[in-house]
Amino acid sequence: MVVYTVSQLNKYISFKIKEDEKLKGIIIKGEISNFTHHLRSGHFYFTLKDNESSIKAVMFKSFASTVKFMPEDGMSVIVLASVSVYERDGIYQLYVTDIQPDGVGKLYTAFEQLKDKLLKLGMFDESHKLPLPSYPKKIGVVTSKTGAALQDIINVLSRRYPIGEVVVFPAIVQGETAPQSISDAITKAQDSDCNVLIVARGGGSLEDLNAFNTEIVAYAVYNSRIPIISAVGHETDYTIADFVADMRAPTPSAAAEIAVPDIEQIILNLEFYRKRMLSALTKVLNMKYNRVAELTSKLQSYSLEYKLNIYEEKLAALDKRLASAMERKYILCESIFNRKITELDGLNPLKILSRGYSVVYKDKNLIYSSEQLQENDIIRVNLGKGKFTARVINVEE
Amino acid sequence: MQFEEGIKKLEEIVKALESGDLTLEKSVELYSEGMKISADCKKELENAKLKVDEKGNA
Repeated sequence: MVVYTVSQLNKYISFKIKEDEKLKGIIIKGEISNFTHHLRSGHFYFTLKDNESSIKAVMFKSFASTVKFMPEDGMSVIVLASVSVYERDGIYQLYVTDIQPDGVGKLYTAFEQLKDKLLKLGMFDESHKLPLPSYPKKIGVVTSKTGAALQDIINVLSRRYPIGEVVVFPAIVQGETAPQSISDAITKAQDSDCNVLIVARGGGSLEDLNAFNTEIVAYAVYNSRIPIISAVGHETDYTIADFVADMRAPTPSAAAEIAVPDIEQIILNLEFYRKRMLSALTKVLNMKYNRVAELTSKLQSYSLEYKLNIYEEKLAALDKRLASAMERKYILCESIFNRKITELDGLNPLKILSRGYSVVYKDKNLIYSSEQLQENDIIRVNLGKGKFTARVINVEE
Repeated sequence: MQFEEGIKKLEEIVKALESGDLTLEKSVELYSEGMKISADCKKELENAKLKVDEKGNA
């Protein structure tokens, strides 16, 4: 019995396949998945598949560069290709020379149909969306236990919000069992005291994300009493779960950032609150102080001191009036006095004598009646100017 | 007091103080309470470490 090497076997198979004219220049219909545009070489690598089966395909740069559209996962296409063996790996694959789109891919069609259906049912309505809590205590995460998404989320939460708690509800996020598993995990989370749920999965092809485009997951998200942030695939991927969720995040890391506030910001806010409290208290104190000052001044108007002040002012006013009255009186008196002086001057006896009258004395007694005199009495007579002595010759009545 | 409740309470206190229609005594009381909550929250934040828990195993 001959013993062959692996290389010999693969070479033989390769030969047999190449020999088969039926496998050359054939047209195949299928759906693209795992599409890779190898940037350095310019080749396309993808898998062509239908419901039951799949085959690897490669399209070299010389052909790929002529393709008018950019193939992508989920796209139904018709390709012109030959089957050949890649001897190193012992696999046979399609060597594609031309590719044409075949309508819209089935997955995409299914996606659009489900989206329309759920939209009409009102499952994307803004009114049904729950608000996210400002300071969640527990953050539930529905995702693969082993995926990068979970690590990304935990990293962001540790940095931004170490005060929180993460509760992981593991789910299978790819393959046939994924829809049920994701739905179960979301349902399970309803019994927890999580304040917010992140439903996440890292990037992948359209089929990889397909679980999030199923009705069962859509309903689980819709029926959640806990607000859900969805973060499925890359920024450009939109899934049904994203539309139903209360908030869509472009990536799992972004979902974590949306779910919680940043600790730095909270610390700043705390500082801000302290300042606001201090300024509010200062304001209250000022207000009360002003009120006290106002009342004190009102009270003072009833005090003894205030009254004394008022009396003092009255007294001063009276003093002033008194002084001015006295002044007026003095002036009046002075003028009366002056008048009297003038009058008095008119009564001076010397003045009367000067007008021709005389004063007669006898023995120093003033004679004002003839009865005081007898004949031969010696009398003295004072004139206005000079005097003389005389003898009474005759006395008459 | 839990951190989340603390923050909520603090927000209420700031609003109440800023409304300005409290008695002096109440204002001073709220102020001291607010300052204490703020300090507690900050301390809690500084010492916090993320807890991770797992429920089920899919």
